[in-house]
Amino acid sequence: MSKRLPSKIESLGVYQVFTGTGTGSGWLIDDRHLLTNCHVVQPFRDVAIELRNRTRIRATVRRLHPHRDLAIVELSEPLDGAVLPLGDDSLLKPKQSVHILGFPIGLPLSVTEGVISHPHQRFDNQYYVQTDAAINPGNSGGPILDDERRIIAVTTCKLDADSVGFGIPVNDVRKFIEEFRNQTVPFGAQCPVCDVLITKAQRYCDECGSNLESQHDFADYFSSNETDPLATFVETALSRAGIDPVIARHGHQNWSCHAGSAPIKAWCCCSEHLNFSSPMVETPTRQVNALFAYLLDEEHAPFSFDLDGSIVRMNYVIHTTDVFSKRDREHLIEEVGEFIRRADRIDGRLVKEFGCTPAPDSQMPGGHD
Amino acid sequence: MSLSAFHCPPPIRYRRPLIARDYARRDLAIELFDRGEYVQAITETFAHAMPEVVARTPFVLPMSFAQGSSRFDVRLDGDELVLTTVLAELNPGANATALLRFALSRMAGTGQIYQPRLKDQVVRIEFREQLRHLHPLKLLEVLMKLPAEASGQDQWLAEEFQVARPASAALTPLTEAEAQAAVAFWHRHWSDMEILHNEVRRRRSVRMLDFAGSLASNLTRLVLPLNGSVRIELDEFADEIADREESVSKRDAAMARLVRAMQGVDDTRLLASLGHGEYAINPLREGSPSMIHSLYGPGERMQAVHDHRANGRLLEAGLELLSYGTYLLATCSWAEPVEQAIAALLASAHEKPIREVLDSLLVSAESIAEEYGKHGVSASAEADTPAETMP
Repeated sequence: MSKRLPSKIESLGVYQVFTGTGTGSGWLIDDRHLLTNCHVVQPFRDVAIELRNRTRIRATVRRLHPHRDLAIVELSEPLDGAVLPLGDDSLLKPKQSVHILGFPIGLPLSVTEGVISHPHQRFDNQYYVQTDAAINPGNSGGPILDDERRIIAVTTCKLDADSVGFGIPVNDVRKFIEEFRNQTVPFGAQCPVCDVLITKAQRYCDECGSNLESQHDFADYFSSNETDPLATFVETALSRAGIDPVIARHGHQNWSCHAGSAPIKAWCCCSEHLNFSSPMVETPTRQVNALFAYLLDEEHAPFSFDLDGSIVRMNYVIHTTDVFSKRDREHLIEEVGEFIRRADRIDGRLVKEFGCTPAPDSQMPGGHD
Repeated sequence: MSLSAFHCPPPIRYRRPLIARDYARRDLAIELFDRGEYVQAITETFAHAMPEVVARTPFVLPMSFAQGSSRFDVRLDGDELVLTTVLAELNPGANATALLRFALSRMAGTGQIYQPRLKDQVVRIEFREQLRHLHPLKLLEVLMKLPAEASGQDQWLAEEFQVARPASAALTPLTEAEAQAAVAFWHRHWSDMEILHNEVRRRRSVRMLDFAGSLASNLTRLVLPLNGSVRIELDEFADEIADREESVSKRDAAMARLVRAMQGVDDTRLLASLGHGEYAINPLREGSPSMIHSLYGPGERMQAVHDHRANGRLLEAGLELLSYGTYLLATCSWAEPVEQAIAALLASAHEKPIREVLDSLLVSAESIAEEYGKHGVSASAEADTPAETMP
């Protein structure tokens, strides 16, 4: 990494964005607003932002630019990460070094490096900064920096070919931010043709007459998004258990959160099973017989435990026929609530009585975090 | 090994004929469940899953059934249905810690609605559900997976961890003649496989390794009623050889270790691992015309066989045809005429000149595909259609 980039990149205002379809990256334009890609947040109006200590806060989508693939979200509380300055993409030259910050494939904040392959590459009727630096799913929305630690582009996509990635030039980004600062409406999306702000569902742009419904699924930006029955069930159950489902979203049919100290994960592994699991503690290295006997005891039914390596997980598996059956849906929601409450109780017991240590995802004192 | 050395003796394992499941009974079970007639829904679900058992004996709860070496109890406990089998009893001298760790790390887990449980030193694998939540598809999933998993593991658990199996189902020992035939097959088969593996190494062919691994394991499964640790060992090596994600050198080494391990099984251990079990739920998949078509019908696989033959790679061509046949019989159940036709194909590769054997295998394979590899077309209706011509 360049010596001009701080060795501790954690201090920079770059954060991971979580939605019900996946994850991406975003960066602070001030302490209350984060810029990311439109495709990272769509079709959601509320998203989650993960902080360095793995806790999450809510953010609300305020502006979308579907054509330029940009979005601005407002954070529910101010963040103190360093706001990076904006550069000028008209000064970029081929072979100039670039540094891409982001969360590739969901990993913690990391940096990849390369050079500018083309400073103003025309591709799909738009101009991009083309780079050979590694870009992976999860990098989208993250900043591309020059050696002076200035943002020169925003990561947006890559081609299947090796080492061909694209960033949205920073001058376009600056224009989008400035327009946002000069507007007062709470939510709007910019017309893909003339950039005018559209604030309600309409078929044609008042300014340029373009058919908005035929472009970028524009009508979807102003309607509540459809959620599948499994997602609705999980989010209702989490909500009843006092967990904000927006904060828990971790990609498609995937949720992760904490109930007290216990990590809770939910996911669909196949068409038949909806899994809730709490990877709560690690086994001690000795005298494990009593622990194993306790974990297998039938008193835990309908919940159960298993070992994933040395990690003890408490599990609850729901057959999807139960989710789609309207009868006893309430009973299932209560069972999920009981699972969450019990996971929070049992992790401490496993530490105190059986000598377990908190698992990496646990928020118990003495955990890996 | 030459093709003329291949020998597929009559299976010692009992035949498991195809008895097609009645899907109308499954659908009826769902209707009954939706109407709140839970016990009738359970009856219909069992009738769908184990048609032979329910045809012999009317389904009444509580009931018990055998699946290989496992015995299952099904009963109503208040408003719950319980399906359970004892895996092991932690008697003194048992390696209890290792067994419990195995149960927690290999048998328990997400993605399944049955779990191992421990009570009074007895490890069971159990499914328990309230009747009003017992959708027939849920019960069916348990019936299709749980007995197979338990019967695959229980005898091995007893050998590996020195635990007792107080409620196991007895396997019928082999007769004297069956035992002699089994021992003779075992020694000859693994000796043949050693020669075949050396040939694979000499030719440095990954494709040939695939088929040699398949033939080694499937011919054993087809001929012998193999259980316990020897069966588990065979299955694990076979999985390793077939793992395309793994490096070729590791897969090749797994084949060598398989042959060595199986040759190291003495007659006493082999005979202790053999026994005929009762199976309430057919452990084999239902064979289908599309499976036959995909292996012996016109397509890439048969084209490869013809290419081998045209290029003088007769061993490769014959090996592929024989591997397909043993795979079909070892893993699926078939109507009797189909089973006989495939068995005849395997029997035809014995003590004949190699080219003649290959021609005979090809004719048999294409005839099987023509006659049994098409959906919804009877053999008589197809009589006028010209057979596939060989290149």
